[in-house]
Order: sequence, then C-alpha cells, then structure tokens
Amino acid sequence: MMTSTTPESKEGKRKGKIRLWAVLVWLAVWQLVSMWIGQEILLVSPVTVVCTVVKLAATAEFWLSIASSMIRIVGGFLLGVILGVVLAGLSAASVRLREFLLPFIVTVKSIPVASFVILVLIWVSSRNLSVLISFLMVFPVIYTNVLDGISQVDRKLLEMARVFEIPFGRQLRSIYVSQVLPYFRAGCSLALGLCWKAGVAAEVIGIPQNSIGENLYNAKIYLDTPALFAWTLVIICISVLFEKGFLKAIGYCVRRLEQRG
Amino acid sequence: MPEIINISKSYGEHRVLEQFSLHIQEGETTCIMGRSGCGKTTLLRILMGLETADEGETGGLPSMKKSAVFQEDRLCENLSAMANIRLTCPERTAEEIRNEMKKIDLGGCENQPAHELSGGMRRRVALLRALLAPCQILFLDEPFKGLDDETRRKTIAYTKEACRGRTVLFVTHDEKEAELMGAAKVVSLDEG
Repeated sequence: MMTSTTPESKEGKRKGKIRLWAVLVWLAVWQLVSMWIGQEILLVSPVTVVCTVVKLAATAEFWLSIASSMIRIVGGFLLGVILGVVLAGLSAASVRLREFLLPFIVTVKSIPVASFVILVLIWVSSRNLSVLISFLMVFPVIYTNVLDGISQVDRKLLEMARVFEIPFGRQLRSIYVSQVLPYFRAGCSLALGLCWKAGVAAEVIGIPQNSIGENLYNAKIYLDTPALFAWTLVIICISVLFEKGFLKAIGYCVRRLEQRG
Repeated sequence: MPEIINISKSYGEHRVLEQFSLHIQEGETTCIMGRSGCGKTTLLRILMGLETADEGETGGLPSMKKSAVFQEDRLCENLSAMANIRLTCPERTAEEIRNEMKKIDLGGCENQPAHELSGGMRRRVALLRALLAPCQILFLDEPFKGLDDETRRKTIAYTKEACRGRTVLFVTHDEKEAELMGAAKVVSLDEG
C-alpha cells in the first residue's frame, strides 16, 4: 500500500541521492586544501575533525550537550508541527481564522532569526530560547504547507464522500491524510533544517549551559577550529538522522492510519 | 417516493435542463438516456445534492441515503481496491467483499493500490463500492464505460442482479446497456 499520492520516480530518486564517490571527492579536496594551507587554525583537515569528534564523544559533557540541545530544539519543532497542523486544519475551515493568522505568519517569516533571538532573550531565559526560536521557524512553514495541501485535496473525492455520507474521521484518514502528506513531508523536511540552524544559532547567542551552542561559542572564543568543525559535523549528523527518522515515523503512522480505513 | 418536478438548470446562457420531470419508481431501475452533453450528469448531480437547480423540486430525495457511480472513478489512489470499497461499507467483512470482487473478475487485486489498477479494474472497483454501500437510492452514471465487451456483459449481469429490488437511477447513452440492465422505465432526456 502506497502512502503518497505523488510517488517519486526512479529518476527523481537518483537525482536527489548523494553518491559516495562525490562525498569522497569533496573530502579529498578538503584534505588537500587543508594540507596546502598547512595551518589547522584556518582550515582543519577532515581527519582531524573525525579524531576530534571521537575524542569529544568519550566525554560525558558531549552527550549531555547533545541531549539538552536536542530536547529543546526538537521540543520546539514538535510544538510547531502540532500547532501548525491543528491551526492549518482550523484555518481551512474558517476564513476568519485564516485572515487573522496571515499577518502573524508573514511577519514571523520575514523577521531575521538574529532579531528574533535578541528580542526573545528579553522575554525568556537563555535556557528556553532555542525552544521558542525553533518553534517560530517551524510553525509558519508547517502551517503554510499543510494549508496548501488541504486546499489541493481532490474536490471530486470530497464530493464522493459527501454523497456516500462518509464520516469525517474516515474522510480524514482515507482522503485528507494521504493527499496532504506530500505537503506535510516537504514542510517537515524544510522546517527540520531551519530549526536546527536557528536553534543552534540561538544557543550561540544565548549561551545556555551544557548546549551545542555553548560548545560552539567556546570553540570560537578559544580559536579551537577542530572543535568548531567537530561540533558542526555533529549538528549535521543529528539533523540528518532526526529528519530521516522523523519522516520514516510519519510514513509508518500514515500507513497504520490508512490500514484502519 | 422520489419525484422530480419541473427541474431547470442553466450555466450562464446555456440552458442544460428545461422543466424536466420524472417519477422514480421505488424498487425499480429507471434508465435515463440521451446523447452526450444533453444534461444527464447535471441532472444526477442535482439529484445527488451536489448542485442546486435553478427551478423545480426534488421531492423526497434530499433525505434519502445515496450511493453512486460517478462519471469518473473517484477512487482514493493510495488506498487498495479493498480499502476503497470498504470506505463506503465498513460493516462488510473482508471475506464478503473478496467474494463479491471475484464475481466481477477482481479477485487477486484486493491489496493493489488504485493507481496500479487498469482502467477497467478501476471502473469495477468504483461500481462495487457503490453496489455494496448501504443506500436507499443508487445513481449509476455510465457505470460500464471503458469496459471491454466480455467484461461489460459479465459486469452488467452482476449489476442487474445486485440492483434487483433497489431504487436505481441509471444513466447511459447506450441503448443496449439499458436493455441488458432490464430497466422498468426508460426516459429520454433529449425529449425533455
């Protein structure tokens, strides 16, 4: 049973897939440039970065920082997803609510992250800063995408449901979920990248204790380039793994919902 | 008893239905015939409550539980054939549905998603979805469209049997189909 109404073609999958050879070539280029410069403070080599990650991973602070940053950023992300989906659903049913939310959405989308961070620091403690920033990055994206998805649901299927008097819960599971899913997935994919970037940026400015942002800030202060690169690599890995895991979990939940009919 | 009285419908300057009246016999199949574009589908859409007539009444129809085969299949593409059918009749068991599917040569494709089915299979899934749904009136808009001769003959025989004793409004432009369905009443929409 398929979960998406827009099955990706083999060609499309090929185009979007990162090839190992391309990664290796880029790593080789990086290594060569680093060796050519010869100053690790300016450009650290990939080998040193990996060694630094391994060294950091042996400490408890490393895992504590990852856990506390992850809880906050993912917390903000989930809050944005839940509120975005619920309000998009309600907005699809109420023009007034849609009109009411539009100025907020447009404003949040246009304000630079740095402005938000500084402004929000006045209102909340630096500890919770990344939750709010992550939420503010995710909410408009999810809201807009899900609302677009709902507006694109096949009217003919809705007419069919009306004639057969299919209860709303069943319509939601069988018609809406699968038709809105591609929009939701695209929104999540974009929002996940944004929330990690903005969340860590907020931590670098707010410097909450035991966070990835604090470690990045310290690396900058002490000109510890290997640590800076190592933490960046860690952020990329967490972001990619979380995105893959989350989208897989969504796919699984949708399949279960559709099977319930 | 459903009664259609003096229904008229226009789209801009184009008059599609002009003072059309029909008495639908309960427990019988009423066939509406007419050339393409004469307003058959518009009439069904009004009777199904999807459009409103400019004039006239559809007495008794709004409160009736309806089932329909639309001109297009209107299947949920990501759902399996079985899930599409169960959408309108969740009270039926999978075994029951599987047995009915076999009768119109849909056996073995229960778990195939709609987007993987052929045109003829999709049409039969849409037909079965309508036939198995509990209803007081059944609308069939060109239900055998796109079926090859052999499948059409078999599907018509199955549909005729399934429609026995039910109130059915069957729309077609094919005289042979109307005859094979054994309609109690045939009305030509061309004549108004």
